[in-house]
Amino acid sequence: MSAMSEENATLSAAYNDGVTATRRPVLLRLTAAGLEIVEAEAREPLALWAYGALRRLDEAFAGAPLRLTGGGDGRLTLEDGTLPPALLALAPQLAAGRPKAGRTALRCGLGFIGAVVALAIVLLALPHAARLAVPLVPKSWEQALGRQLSDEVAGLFATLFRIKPAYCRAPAGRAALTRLTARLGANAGSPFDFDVRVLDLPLVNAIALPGGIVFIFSGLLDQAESSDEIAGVLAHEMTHVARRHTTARLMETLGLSFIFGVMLGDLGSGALAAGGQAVTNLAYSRRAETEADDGAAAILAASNIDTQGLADFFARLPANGSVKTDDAEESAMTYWSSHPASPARARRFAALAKPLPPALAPADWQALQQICAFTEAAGG
Amino acid sequence: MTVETLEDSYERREAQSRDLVYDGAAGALAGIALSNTLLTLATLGVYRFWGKTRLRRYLWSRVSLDGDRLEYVGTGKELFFGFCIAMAILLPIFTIPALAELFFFEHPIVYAFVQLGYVILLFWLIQVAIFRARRYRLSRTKWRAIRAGQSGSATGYALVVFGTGLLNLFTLYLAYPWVRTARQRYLVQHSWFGNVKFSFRARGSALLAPWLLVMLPIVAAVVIGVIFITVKAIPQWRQSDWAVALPPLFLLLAVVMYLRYRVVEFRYFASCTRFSRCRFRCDLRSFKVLLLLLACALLLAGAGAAITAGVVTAMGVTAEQMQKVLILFQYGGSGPAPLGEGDALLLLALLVWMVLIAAAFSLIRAAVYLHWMTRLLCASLTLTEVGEFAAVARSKAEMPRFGEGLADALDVGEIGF
Repeated sequence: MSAMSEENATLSAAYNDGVTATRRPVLLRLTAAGLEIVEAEAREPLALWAYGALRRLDEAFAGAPLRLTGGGDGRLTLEDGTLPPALLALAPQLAAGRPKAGRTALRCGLGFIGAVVALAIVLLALPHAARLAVPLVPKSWEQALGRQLSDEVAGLFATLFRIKPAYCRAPAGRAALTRLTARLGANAGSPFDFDVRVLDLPLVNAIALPGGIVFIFSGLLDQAESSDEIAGVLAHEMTHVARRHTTARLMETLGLSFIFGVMLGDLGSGALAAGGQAVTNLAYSRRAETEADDGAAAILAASNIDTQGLADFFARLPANGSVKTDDAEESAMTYWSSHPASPARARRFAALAKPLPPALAPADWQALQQICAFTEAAGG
Repeated sequence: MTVETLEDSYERREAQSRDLVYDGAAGALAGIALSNTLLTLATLGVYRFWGKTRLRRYLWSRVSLDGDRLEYVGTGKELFFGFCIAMAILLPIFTIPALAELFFFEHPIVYAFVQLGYVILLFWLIQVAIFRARRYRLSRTKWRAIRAGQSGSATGYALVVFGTGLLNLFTLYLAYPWVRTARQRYLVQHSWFGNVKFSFRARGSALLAPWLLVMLPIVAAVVIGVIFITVKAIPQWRQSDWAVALPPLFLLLAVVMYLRYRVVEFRYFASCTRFSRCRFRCDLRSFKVLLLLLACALLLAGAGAAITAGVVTAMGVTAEQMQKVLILFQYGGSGPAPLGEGDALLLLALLVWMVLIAAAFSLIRAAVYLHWMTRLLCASLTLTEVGEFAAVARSKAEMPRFGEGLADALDVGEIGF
């Protein structure tokens, strides 16, 4: 440092002392002790900044002046923007680039790990929290919610097919359905009374609402080849009701959308939130589906109904219209699915099968299949 | 460099400009916006506080007053901690509606009261958030190493907003210019640079004429709508299709007039603002702002359409799958058409689409909207007696320690600033 020549050692700059908003033209001297800031006529320096404490204020952009801080309130501005090589040699941290660029990568890494850990904790804890919270929800509340939702849900499904929602209510079919419901319901261990309704829609599915309401879509009745299949699906949905899965799911969804909404504020990350929510939703529901399958097997066994019907149903169920996949791929895909893979479920129920009389007498089964001969508009 | 040349350059710089100059580059802003989007996605949102800080640092550093650039001294860490604190306050509050529904489900009157209280509380918090965000940004803004600041209290501001809000309701928004003036007065009169306060001498009546130009088309739309509904039985009216188009046209006109009002109001408020003897003048033209907003809207729509079309064709998404996605967005994974085993590719397409949309949005916001808005504002503002700013000493007032948490959590931060 002592070898530095006099020309190199003096630089001109503008100085703000951080006390008043005046701009003072100053000279900079690179001394052994640090960067000396001197007013033109004065002998005593205005300030002495240690080289190690020097920082750029801004990222280096072409055409911008070089602004420096020595760690305190004072500011130096070198108008022509280029960093004098002599100063760079003494304070290498001033090299062009983002200030503290080295630590940014580390921070992002840590931020990512932190975010993933936090997210994992939330995702793991939320279903459990929701399950723990479900018993706190009054049963009367859940029933009222189910009643409130039923027409809404019926309407929603109907709009998918651009038709008016209607319940199938042919008297003979209803009687058969009531008998089947009572037989299965007695073994479901449900805190709610069951209200099974058939919706006139070409959908091969059934859904459980909170508080004991179950929807069977008429497409399922058309597609089913035996009353055992319907009994199996109904037993599955009844387990959802008995375990209050839909209510737990509602709480999970509320909690998730809240957490994602809070964590990722603005619009761009909002889109990410929706995707993440969808994925986690699917993973959660899969667990509930497996539980419902367990429950269905138990209910069917207690009601003396053969599980082969449910096995046949799952064997026929297309894997969401996709091409057939081999086993390795299939197990990877099941994560994305709201239901466990159909062939696996078919195998599971086939293993439990034993020959028993059909769930409904042939006359009852025929009546149930024709329940949509008479319909009533939903919500009326 | 000798002392003489230094003084020459100093004088040259003095002569160049005494006003606000913005010399930011759209390309640099685009780079910052893109890297912010990617890092925010990669960190699942955590980076956004640091990203926001980086963008602000750039924008501030490209605005000079009297030849010296502004400096933003906020940090990502402050924003992050501010957000954490706000969450600690907000999380319990956000559970109120759910709890109320749970416990007062069968008592609709109690439930309604709790809901009303919740809405008022939220409104209150939003005003507090707006005030605090402004205070944070001012306190982190430096010029010539002296920081700006804001005194007053968030509660005081919230009271002003609440009171004037009631005035708005009772006068059917005829008092809007006075309301806006009162709110702006509270903010400006509590703003400082160093140890000197800003002052504000505005009268709401000066803005009545441009405000009436907003109200008139709305009144016209309502009147025509009511007439149309009540006399639609008259066959001659039923024939005239043009009458149906009138109310929407008038409402569109009202939107345009409202944007114009905001620009006129900005000009007026600037002219009423003083800093010691320094006065501000603004000649911002409303058609320029309208053009900018229109350009941004068109760019956003165009980018959205192009990205959607690109992803759909590149990844072979079918119409049926598109409908599934729409349902998924509306009802979440539990909706009537859950994704199945064959839809992993669809989910990937969805993810790619989201990332591209997020990138496009933040790009257009930074490189077009923020860039041109700052440019228009700086070019339109002139200052007299700018030397008053140089005569200022630093303030001894306390600085807020953490940043804008409430505003961030409640989504009321001014866009990008």
